[in-house]
Amino acid sequence: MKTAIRVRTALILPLAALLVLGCSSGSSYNGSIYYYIENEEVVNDSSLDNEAGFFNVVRLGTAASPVYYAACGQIRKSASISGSGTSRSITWDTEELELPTASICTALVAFGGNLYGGFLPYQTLQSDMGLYKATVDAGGTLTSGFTQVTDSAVKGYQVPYLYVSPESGGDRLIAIVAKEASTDSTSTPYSYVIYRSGDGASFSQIYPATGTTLTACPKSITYQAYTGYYWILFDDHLVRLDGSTLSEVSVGPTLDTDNYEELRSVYCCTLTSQTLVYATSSYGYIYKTADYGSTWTASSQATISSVVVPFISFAEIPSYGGTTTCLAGAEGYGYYTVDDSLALVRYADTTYADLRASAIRSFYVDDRSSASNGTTTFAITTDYGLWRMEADSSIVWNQE
Amino acid sequence: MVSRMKCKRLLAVACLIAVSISALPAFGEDAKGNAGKEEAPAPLYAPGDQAISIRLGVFWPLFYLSFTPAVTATNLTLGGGGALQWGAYLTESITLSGELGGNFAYSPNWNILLQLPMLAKVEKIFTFYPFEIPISLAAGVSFVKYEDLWAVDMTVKPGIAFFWIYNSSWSFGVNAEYWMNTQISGTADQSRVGNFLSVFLSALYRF
Repeated sequence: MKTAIRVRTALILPLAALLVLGCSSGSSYNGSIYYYIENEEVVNDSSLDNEAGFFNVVRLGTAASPVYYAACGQIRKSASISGSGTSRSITWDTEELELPTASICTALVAFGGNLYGGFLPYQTLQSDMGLYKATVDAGGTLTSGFTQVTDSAVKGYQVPYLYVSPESGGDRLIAIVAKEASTDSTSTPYSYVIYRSGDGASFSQIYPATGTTLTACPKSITYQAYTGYYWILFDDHLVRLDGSTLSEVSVGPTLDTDNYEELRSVYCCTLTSQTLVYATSSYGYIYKTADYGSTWTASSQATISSVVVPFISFAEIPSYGGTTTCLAGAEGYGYYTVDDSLALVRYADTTYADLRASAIRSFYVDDRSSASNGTTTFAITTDYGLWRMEADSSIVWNQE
Repeated sequence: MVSRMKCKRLLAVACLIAVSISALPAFGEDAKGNAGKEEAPAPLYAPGDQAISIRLGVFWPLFYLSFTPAVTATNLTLGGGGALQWGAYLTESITLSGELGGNFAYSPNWNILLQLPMLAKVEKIFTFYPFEIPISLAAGVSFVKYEDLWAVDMTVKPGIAFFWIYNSSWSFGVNAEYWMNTQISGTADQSRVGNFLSVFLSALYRF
């Protein structure tokens, strides 16, 4: 009797398992794992730290002979560039640039042919905190060390965000400045002001109105050359600021506050349209407006295995001879391609290395404006280093 | 008198030898019925007997087969794996088992491909005492994990093994199995049948 029961048990268990699991065979994605591995390519890993979090990449030099600088606390400079098209490769200097004493670089832009960085001291005085400038020659090589910008608007304050806006009257340097901590422990520890400069030396407040400050830190700023609007992004709304009159309008999509949805980045298109503005959200949506923020269209929600994908960055990638591609960077899920109808497709990257699981803080698109010079796109991640893609008919990333 | 004592001593020695032989694990009860070559060997196992085996070894990715059809390289390194199997004898030489396993291999960027099969297996055992050669066919599902991707594949796995019967409980040997994991994709041209070969060292315990 016992034997019979044991035999029955031996028969039933595996058969039941097969019935249950075999019927539910399938996958959480629309592709074959074997296919992806079959096409996986060895990542051409350059000399930068693969585990570092990067803040910015900028290009100096000329379109034909660019020089790149990458901020990741320290600043690294490209030493040489060889090849062309998708075979292009960058060798980085093994030594980082000399920074202001005991400080780290958290923001970096190229403005007026020079390099500007927001530096945060970790050992020295608070007065050493602020915006620094290093002069650069036409070839993209530094001709001086970093010296502090002395305007009282930025000197001694943290500068977490820098942006160069292509205003019609010439480029402007935009800086978000975090003012001193409040002595009142119940108050928000920092207040924020957005400054603008035409020469990189003197700054004027553009938002909020002079004499006031913000209690919430703006997450990103972008300039729409077609309209002259600045789009300033906060967690829960956007501000459309007229660059001439500084008049402001609060705009933005309706967010799902029950699910703590927040806006994470804003991007003004220049290639596919002059009026399109995209905003990304923490709750898996990409929003689009073509009427200056009056109405917004939402994508379908991006999820992976029922987990919402937070989008934190956006960029247009030009491809000469091809079509412009829009990329939405995700936090922990690499990036998605976005088409005109806001259809989201998680890109089937053939490297399947860390980029696919990284958080892409932003993209830096170096559009050198001709097919011969090409376009280089950097994916700037918070956790898995710096990735580079040369625009072509296919998207292939190299880890720097 | 002397002869009677000799007879007793001979009987005692014979008893001791008989006891000693029967105490030898590999040549005790398992050997019964082998005394006369003309007689068919007595069966080692009976329906209802059960067996557990554990296996460890190398896992060799061979190729992918697309539905085009075309053969492509797996782009995977030599890997490793193992399995636990538990089953029962349906007849003296046929078993039905359940198998849980795991195997792995690495991609060109050293990302790990993990496959966890859950299979039902039928074995036909050919015994050539003290060896036995089970020929098996397993089928079921494999949970496949790669980075943040996963899939549940249908798996078919024919195999052959070679065991040395150490005693009535234990056997040791080597087990070779050919894996066919069918992975259906949303896009037909991406569907693949993964072909793999595992060669595992095995220990089998019967009870």
